[in-house]
Amino acid sequence: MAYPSSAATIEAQLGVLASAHPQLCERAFLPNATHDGRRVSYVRVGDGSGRPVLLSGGAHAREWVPPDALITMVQRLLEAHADGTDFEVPAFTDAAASPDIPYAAVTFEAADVRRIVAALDLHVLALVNPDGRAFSQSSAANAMWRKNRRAPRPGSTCRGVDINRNFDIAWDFDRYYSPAGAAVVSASKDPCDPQVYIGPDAASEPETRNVIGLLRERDIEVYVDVHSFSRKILYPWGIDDNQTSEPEENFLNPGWDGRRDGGFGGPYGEFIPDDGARRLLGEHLELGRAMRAAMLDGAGSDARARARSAYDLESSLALYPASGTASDYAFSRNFTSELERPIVGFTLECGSDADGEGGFQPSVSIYPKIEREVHLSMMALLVRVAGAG
Amino acid sequence: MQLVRIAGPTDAMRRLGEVAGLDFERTSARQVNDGRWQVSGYATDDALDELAARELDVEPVVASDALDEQRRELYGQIERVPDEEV
Repeated sequence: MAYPSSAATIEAQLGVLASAHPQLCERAFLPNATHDGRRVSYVRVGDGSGRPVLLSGGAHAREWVPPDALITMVQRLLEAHADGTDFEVPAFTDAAASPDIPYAAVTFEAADVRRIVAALDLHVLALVNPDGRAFSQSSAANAMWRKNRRAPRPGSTCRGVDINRNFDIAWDFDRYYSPAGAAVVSASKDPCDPQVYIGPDAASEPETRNVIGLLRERDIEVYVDVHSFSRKILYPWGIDDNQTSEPEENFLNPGWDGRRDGGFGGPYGEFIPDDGARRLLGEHLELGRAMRAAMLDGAGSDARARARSAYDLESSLALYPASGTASDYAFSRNFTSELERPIVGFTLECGSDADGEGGFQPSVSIYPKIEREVHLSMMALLVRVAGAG
Repeated sequence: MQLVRIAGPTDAMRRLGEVAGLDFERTSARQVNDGRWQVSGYATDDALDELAARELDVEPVVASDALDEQRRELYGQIERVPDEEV
């Protein structure tokens, strides 16, 4: 499959993978068809008895790399397992740089591949939002489309909901935050907002419900939502700044409604447990460091390659809070579900605006560099979660 | 439209969402120095004017002509299934 691939190509490729590896890989359709009537499928690798993991991509239409990179990662994993060989991330040379920049080949051992398949119940939902991708790829004029393709309300011409603001975590941001916090949150109740319209209700969108269904029905314990771009590994929370000492400051506490500030250093911080049996912050930091190291070390010895493979590991908040995101929702299930094991949720922001990486839509020539970062980071995560790290 | 990096003080940067025609990547926000922040985004000419009016620093990353050319090339390379409607 060649980058960039269409929504239909991605769906077709999932079928190809399952057909080629019927003993290991099952393709299944999700229950909610999209607004344009597309069926969405995912692949499941393993015998179903392992630790449940979900990798997703393509929630934002214009971010073309994540679905392609997730599919090729599964393809390499399945082929390596079938052949009993190592998982190889090939060397890459950035010939557009002057002088050329070499990126080293990296190998994950066959034993790690076997352990991943044996120990994990891996779900890959490569393209959450196929309608949006199809629209983004229909014409260069639509390149920057981000949302899904929900039809306009009567009397309006404004389409679409931001899937990554539609999850039920601080979704009603006006109620959730203080007026000052709500004014800066990356979310909007205006259907004509081209970027971050949250939708008419929490989980109103079929694409959102598809992800939620997998998270709940499969009791997903490790979730990564792959986006682009900014060379970052983001861990919870994105709704506010983290704190580990005040459990009553949490998203479920209505006593804080209308008073949360959504920023660093304010009166409210979102509780993230980090002691005893619930080292949720520490668990994220350990896994995040493993992903970061895999990308950095995988660049090899060239100083420029290493500089361009340096991902930041930080909480999702940064400068702007964001409500209703998939990774925060997945993580919030630590506090709303009955799962005893910790749930971790990451967002990987692959690629960059710099160094010729092209932002949301990298060129074909630089795509392998970003693809390899997705493969390196996800494989490092899977190895670690599978217990081989 | 061009790809740019925008930098400025915290309060001004937290209000970037008000700028019509600016499509910035929230997660690209980085603290640079003296408490200032930088984000990357795609900006129309009108948005660039508004950013200038707000006295924010704008660093071009990919000019509009180059961005158009990149897109033209990329759209010609999309792998589609046979008979796929566009």
